[in-house]
Amino acid sequence: MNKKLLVVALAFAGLSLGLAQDFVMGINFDAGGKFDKSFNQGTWEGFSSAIDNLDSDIEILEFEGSPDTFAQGLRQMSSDGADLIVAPGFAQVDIIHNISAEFPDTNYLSIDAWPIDDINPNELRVGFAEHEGSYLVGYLAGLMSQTGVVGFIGGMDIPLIHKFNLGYEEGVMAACSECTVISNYVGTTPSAWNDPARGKELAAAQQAQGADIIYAAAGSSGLGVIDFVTQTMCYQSDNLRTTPLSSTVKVLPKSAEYNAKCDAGSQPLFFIGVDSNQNYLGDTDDRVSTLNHGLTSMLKRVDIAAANAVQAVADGTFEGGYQALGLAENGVGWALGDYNDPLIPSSVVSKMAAIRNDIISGAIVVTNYFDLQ
Amino acid sequence: MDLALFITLFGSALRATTPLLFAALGGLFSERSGVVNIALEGIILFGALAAAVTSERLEFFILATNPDANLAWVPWVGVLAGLLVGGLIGLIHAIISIRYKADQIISGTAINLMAVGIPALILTGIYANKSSSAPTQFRLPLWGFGDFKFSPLVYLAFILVPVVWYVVFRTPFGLRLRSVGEHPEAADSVGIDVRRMRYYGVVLSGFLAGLAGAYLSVGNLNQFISNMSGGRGFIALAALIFGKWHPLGVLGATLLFGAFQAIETWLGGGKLLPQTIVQAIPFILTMLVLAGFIGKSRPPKAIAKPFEK
Repeated sequence: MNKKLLVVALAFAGLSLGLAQDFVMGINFDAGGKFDKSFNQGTWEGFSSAIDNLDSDIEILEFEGSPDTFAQGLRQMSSDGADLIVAPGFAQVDIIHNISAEFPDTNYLSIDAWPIDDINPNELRVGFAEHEGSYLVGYLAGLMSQTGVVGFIGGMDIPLIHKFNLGYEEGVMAACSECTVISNYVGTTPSAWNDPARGKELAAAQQAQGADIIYAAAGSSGLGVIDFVTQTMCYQSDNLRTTPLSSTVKVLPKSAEYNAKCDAGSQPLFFIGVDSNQNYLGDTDDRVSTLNHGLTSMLKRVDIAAANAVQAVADGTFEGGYQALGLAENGVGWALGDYNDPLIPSSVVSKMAAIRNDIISGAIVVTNYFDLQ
Repeated sequence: MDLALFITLFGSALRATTPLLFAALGGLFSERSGVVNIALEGIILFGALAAAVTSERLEFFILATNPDANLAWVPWVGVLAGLLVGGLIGLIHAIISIRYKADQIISGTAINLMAVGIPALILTGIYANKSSSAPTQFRLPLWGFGDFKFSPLVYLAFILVPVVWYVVFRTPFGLRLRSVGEHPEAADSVGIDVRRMRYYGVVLSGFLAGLAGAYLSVGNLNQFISNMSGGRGFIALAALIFGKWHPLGVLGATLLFGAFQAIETWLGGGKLLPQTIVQAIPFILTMLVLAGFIGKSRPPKAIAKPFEK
């Protein structure tokens, strides 16, 4: 009896997987989970909206894993007959490489990967030119900083984060050769990604050294940096440069809390977010129209990578290999929207567009930290 | 180094010391009673989670009915929740290691492992993500003047040092607590309830480690982030050893550890001295103390030994 039931159940499962859908597509989330307001969520949004836009019947498989269970989730979805599995996060890249050899009928997208020699034909590895995006936000920071000092706070002290740091420094220096960049790292172990208290202290120390704009590429520790900026709100200094920010900040209405905390002579502090658009986190009074403390965010368009892969599988054009998504592919960029629009005058926006074009055309070459090694 | 930076780093060192001090003073109660509390790390996380989630949920439900409510008291309730949940986890550790006489290291390790998994479960249930709670709007006030403004919990941590010293060394309770940690059979023979004293010690350590967690989530920041303790429970244990299980020694040790964090910040991203070396110095000192090169650090004699009547 039990055996019969099992056979019937299997038959149904086979039917539902094999016949009812045009495609089966899976997503294997990185640690942090589906709605992490960052990496996973961005991938999910690109993945699901691309599927919604397609005119086909697609079954979605999801697995929320951790470094211990990635392989399990990936194998499960692969043996369930998935046509495509999207996997955000560098921690899964090696596992995908092995599993893609085992399941040649499934296509895989590794996000945040790096090039290797023996990529499988069903394995697409996508990396991002974080140094180019960081150069852009660094350029903006250099243009805007009123103190001439800007900060960088990295999470774990690893080459990938030095790639952000170096691009940012080059951008700052290109905009303002007399500016200083102060760089700190939260730590040297993986707990550096989850230590907002330490991030906050580093931000306080950088501000004490004169930084008025701080770029945080530090995972959840970056929330401590943002917390410092939105709680402290402003600084006093006698020695200010005149920048486009001086005039935009002057006319912007401030929140009641800002006015209570900061007297007329003080200037606002800003952070630069990372990965997804974190500008909204700089809004301290739930009013977009008042001054917000997010100057911009360095965007890593994981959503575009996921959406492209879904489209390619649906079109039958999916190919393995390595893709670097840079400025030209809109894989990285800087965030401009309602929250920071009033801070950034149109002359600066067009200047930024020109810089972006120069990087794409090769007139400006941003050093990739990985090429130095 | 200019004055503004020095003042900031000084404050930074005190803020870094605070959670270590809470947790290490907690560990002092537990270990003085003869129970190793390696679970401090996990208790900090549970305390942080309870404080942040309680504050955020309270705010959420009250603001839903009355958007203009003044909820300055809410984070205080959060702190209380962190304290109580810390005590509760301490009680679990106490029951396992005192009543069931299980290996105290294993019980503590189990709690530390739970502190990674259970918060993810609770966060998923409430906030649909595994890594953080929603930020709260109302914060604990900052007390002080000028550039010296700190969370009330910072003051509390430092006030607790003489309080703990008095309780442990000048009250009958403290004498009993120390006696069950040194020689439980002797304490038992004069009619002291060894197990009860140990329960007190471990639960007190839970309360204090819970406060350390509450400081991290609602005292300093405004949300819980998974694993935000960042090894502070273990550093507190090192400070406890370095401080020779004495409140004043613990104060000195945690201040030293806090100061080294500030020094690490000042040296700035490894430009002068590799960050890893600066990070390691306090622990090298701890090992030297343990090995007897800088004074002798002697643990309570009956530590980690279950009491058999």
